[in-house]
Amino acid sequence: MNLILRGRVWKFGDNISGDDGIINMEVVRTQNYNPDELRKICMWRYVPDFYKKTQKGDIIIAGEAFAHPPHPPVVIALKSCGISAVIAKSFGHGFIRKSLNMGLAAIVSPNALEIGEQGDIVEVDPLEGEVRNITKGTSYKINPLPEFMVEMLEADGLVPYLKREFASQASAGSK
Amino acid sequence: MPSTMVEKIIAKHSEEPLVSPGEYVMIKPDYSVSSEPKWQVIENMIKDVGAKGFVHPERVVLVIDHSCEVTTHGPIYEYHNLMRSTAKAQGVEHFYDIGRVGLRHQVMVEEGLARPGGLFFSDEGNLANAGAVGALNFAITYEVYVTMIREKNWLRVPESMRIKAVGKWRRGVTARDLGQRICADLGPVGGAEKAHQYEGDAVYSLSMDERMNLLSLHYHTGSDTAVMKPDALALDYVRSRTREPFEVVESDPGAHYSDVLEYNVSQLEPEVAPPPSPSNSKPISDSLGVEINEACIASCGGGRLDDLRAGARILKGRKVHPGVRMFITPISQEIYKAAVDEGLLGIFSEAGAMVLPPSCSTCWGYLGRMQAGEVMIATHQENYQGRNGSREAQVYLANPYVVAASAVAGKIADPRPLLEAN
Repeated sequence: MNLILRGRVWKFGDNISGDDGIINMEVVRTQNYNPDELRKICMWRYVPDFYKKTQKGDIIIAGEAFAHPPHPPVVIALKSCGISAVIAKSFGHGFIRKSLNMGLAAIVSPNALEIGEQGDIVEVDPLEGEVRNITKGTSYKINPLPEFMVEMLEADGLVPYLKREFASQASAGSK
Repeated sequence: MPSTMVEKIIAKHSEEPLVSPGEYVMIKPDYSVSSEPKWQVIENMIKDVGAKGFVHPERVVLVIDHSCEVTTHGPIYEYHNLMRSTAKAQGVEHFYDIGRVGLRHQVMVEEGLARPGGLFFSDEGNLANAGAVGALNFAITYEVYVTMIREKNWLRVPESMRIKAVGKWRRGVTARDLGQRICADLGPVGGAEKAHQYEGDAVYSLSMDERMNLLSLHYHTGSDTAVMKPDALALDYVRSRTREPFEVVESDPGAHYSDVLEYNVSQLEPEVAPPPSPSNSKPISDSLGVEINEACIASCGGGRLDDLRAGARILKGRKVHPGVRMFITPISQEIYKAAVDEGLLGIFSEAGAMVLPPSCSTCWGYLGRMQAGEVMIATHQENYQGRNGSREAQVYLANPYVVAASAVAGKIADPRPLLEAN
């Protein structure tokens, strides 16, 4: 098992709003969890038509308080645009747990903004705790994630991870 | 390596001898606690992942506390029978139906399930009232189902921040005022990925009720949990509730903290938080004179016996203003009975306030809803737009003395002159 996340950098600053910037208050109020609708509004405040510009595997790096406040549609919107990881100096409360459980690698790192510039190709190795900037030929240390967490990300989140676990328990005949 | 009490309690429930902030660990909690609003979704999730049943039913705590009155607002009372039948089928001993104990926050402490050195997962951050007995609550909403169906779930270890309060509590100022001031000072993200550790002689001079109110407010700062080292008063409380063994855990000297906040409560005024959040709290003078239509003493942050006593001190011999309706909710049967025995309910009734059954009641807008243009003052947890009925209504948050004084005046009023008169 070696999960490597590879993609182009999207670089943001501080205080990127979750409910009122990555998504909007309307989808929060109506509890809209539809990925097809959420991807079209994703990052509406900061990058018009973000969903048309992203590629699967792209990686966001950001400053302080990324995605505050983070109702679940924030994570769904980012994932539906293909974002595979977010590395930030700090996150809105609740974002880390929601993200990791939905298979989006959210990593706190004080050096988040040093990792690269907009458009650089980077590789994130969560188990090793390393980010390699392929474009610039540099590398950076980040806090590693433990094996169980990387397994959960590989399974694309908590629910698929649990399904796998209970399915193998059922076939093994154990409780 | 010196550790904080939060780090030590987490380590005790994990596979590690020591843990550090920022680490991810697998936790075996003492309990997994859920109320009924999310129960249908939780059952669907359990089925969806293919789980067959609860691995340790004795560690599951299920409580009906949001919709005890079973009224027409929303479908959640339809989940009562689902929770009842699952509790029975799985052999859940700690199932609290309507009329049994009260809010799950009180179940945890009154039933002796929260104990020093303990750790449990629950659905909401305000269950950190359990921190008053030295137990850690971690709120993971729907995810509580995970440790119902398997041994462990993951946790990111928070940093600890010290919040120290010294000084003498002045008349009309309560633990809630300190709590609201902390919410305002830290703001909604100031506590993110952190745990509040409360200390100082002003914290320890508080009653158990007041300590619980204070700790229950922590999550408005974005923090993970709140705790204090249990003293003799707290340990007496625990021993009166349970014979189960427990371990008093305290922070090591030299442990690392992210912040140290210091307060002198002698300098505190009563606080009032205008909408839309507790972070908006300001000293009372900013809100005096705002006309109100409704006043509520209730919630896991303001419906305990000391809150009812505070309301009664103001309401005794006075009447609720003709333009105001007042609702008072004792948050457990035990508190309700004590209020009866102390003559408080009689004072409330004579004054013209409505006493409601032990439940979440007015706090989440299930009861006591407002129309457009109306204003409420309450000891609730939240005051965001639409919380208590119309999106064009407003909710101010304050301590029970302020709420009662405002109910009498018909507008937001300072309780302190009334307390001097008493």
